[in-house]
Amino acid sequence: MRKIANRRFEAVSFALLVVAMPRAAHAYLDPGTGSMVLQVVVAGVLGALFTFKSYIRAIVSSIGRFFGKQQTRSDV
Amino acid sequence: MLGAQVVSGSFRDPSGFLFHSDGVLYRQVNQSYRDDYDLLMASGLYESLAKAGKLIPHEEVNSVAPVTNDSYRIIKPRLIPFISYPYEWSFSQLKDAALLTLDLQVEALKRGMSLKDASAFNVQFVGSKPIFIDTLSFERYVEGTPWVAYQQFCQHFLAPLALLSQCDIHLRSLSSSFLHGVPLSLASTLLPKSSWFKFSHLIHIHLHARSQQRYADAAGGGKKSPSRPLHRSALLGILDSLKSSVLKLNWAPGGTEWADYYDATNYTSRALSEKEAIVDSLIREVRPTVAWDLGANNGLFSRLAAANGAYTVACDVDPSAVEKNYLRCKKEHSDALLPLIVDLTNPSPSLGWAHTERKSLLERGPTDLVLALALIHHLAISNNVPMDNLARFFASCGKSLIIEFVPKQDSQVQKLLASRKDIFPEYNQADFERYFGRYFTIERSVPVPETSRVIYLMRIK
Repeated sequence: MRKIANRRFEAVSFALLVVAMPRAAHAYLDPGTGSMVLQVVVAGVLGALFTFKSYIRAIVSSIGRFFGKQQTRSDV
Repeated sequence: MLGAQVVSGSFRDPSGFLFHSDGVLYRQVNQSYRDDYDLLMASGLYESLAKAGKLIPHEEVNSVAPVTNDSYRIIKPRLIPFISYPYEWSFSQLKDAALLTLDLQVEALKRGMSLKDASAFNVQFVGSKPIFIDTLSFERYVEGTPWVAYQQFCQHFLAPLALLSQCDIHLRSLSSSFLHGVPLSLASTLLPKSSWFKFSHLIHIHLHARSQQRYADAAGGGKKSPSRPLHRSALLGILDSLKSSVLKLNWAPGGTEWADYYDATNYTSRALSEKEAIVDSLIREVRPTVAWDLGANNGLFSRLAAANGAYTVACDVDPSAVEKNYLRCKKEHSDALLPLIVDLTNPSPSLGWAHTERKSLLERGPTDLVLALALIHHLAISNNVPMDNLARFFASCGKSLIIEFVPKQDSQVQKLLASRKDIFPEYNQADFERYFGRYFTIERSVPVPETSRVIYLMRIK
C-alpha cells in the first residue's frame, strides 16, 4: 500500500516541481530550494482551503451574532 | 569597546548580536537591519506584540557604546529569568512555542512583515508563558515570496511534535542531536505508515522531505529556478494548515515511572504535610530569588519556593511528570514556575559551535537555592554516584541547599536495594554529613516526623 502511495506522490510531486518554482527569496539561512518549491506546489490547495474555511467561519459567526442578538432582544 | 562581551551563541544573523556590558545584556542592531528595525517599530508590530506578552520588550539606550562600527541602535531587552532549550521542554511546551511562532508570523504579515527564522531557540518561557526573544527576526514582507522559515518551522517544531506524539516521547533527545532541527527525511522514515494518510503530515513532512531531496539533487545539477509568485492568501493557507497540524498533535502523559509518584510514596499524610511545613520554613530562611528544584516530579515543593517569591525551575527526568506540571502551571497562569525535563545523571551539556552556543545546566547557575528532596538515594544507589561526587555536584549548582537524607532503613531505599548487592557502605547519615560538610556549612537538620528521613539546610562555604 505504502509503495503504491509513494510512487503516486513521487510522480505528482515531480510533475509539480518542474512547473512550480518560487520567486527568489534571499535569507541569511538557506531556506532550502525544496521547501520553497513545495510551498508553491501546495499553495493553490491550501490557499483555497483557507479561503473556504474563512467563509464558513464568517457565516457561522454571523449566524451566531444573529441568534445572539435575537436572544438579547427576547431577554429585554 | 572595553568591557563589552559578545554572547557566544549570537553570531549567525548579520542583523545584530547580543552582548554584555558591565554585566547588563544588550543587543546591537546593525546598519544592515536598519530598514527592518524601523518598520518593526513604526508599523505598530513591536508595540502590539510586546503589549500582548508575545515578544520580549526592550528599550533603546544611548548610554552604551556600540561594539562595532556598523551599529544602528543599541537596545536593552528585558531579561528572561532562566534560559531553557527545546530539548528540555515537555510536549506541550514545544507545542505552545510552535503556536506562538505561527501566531507571530500571521501578526507580522498583517503589518507587512514576515519572520525570517522560526528556530525553537527563539522562544523562551517565563513560567508557563512562551515569549519570542529574537527582536531581529522580523523582516519586510515582499509580496509573492514564500515563507523563508517554512523549512525551519517544520524541522524545529512540526517534525519533533509529530514524532513525540506518534512514535515515542523519548525522541525529544533528537532535538539536542539536531540543533538545526530534526531532518524531515528522518522524521518521514520514523513516522508510522498511517501518517501518510494525514493530509498535513503528507504535505509538510513526507512530501516536504522528498521535495528537499529532489531539489538538493537539482541544485547539484546547476538547474536555475524560474520565478513564480506565492500570493498572500496562499501563504496564509500554508500557515493555517501548519497551525491545524500542530493543534491536532497530542500526547497524553501517564503510565511512566514517576507520573503518579505522590500517590505511591511511603509518606503518611501527616508526614507529608510536616515535610511541607519544614521545607517552607527553610525556604523562608534562605529567601531565594531563583531556585532549582531538582527531582521536582509534579512540582509539589517547587510551588512552595515559587509562593515564597523565588522564580523556580522544576527539573525532573520524567516527561510525564513535567508535562503534568506544565499543564498545571498553565492552568494556574503561573509566571514563577518553569518545569523542565532534565536527567541529573546526564544533564544538558554545552552544545553547538565551539561548545558555546547552548549552555550546560551548570553554566546557567549557580542558583540561589537548590531543593533536592527524596532524590539523593536515586543518585547514590540507582546510579552509583559516590557521596563526595554528589556533594561536589550540589555545591556547583547553588549557594544554598535544602536536601533530604533518606537512610537505608527507609522502605524506598530498601526497594532500590532489593534486587542488587549493597555496595554502598558510605551511604549513611554520618558520612553524608561528613562529605557535604566539605563543601557546605550545615545550618539545620530537621527530622521528618513519622519517617526516618532528615531535611538539611546547608550554605556553600
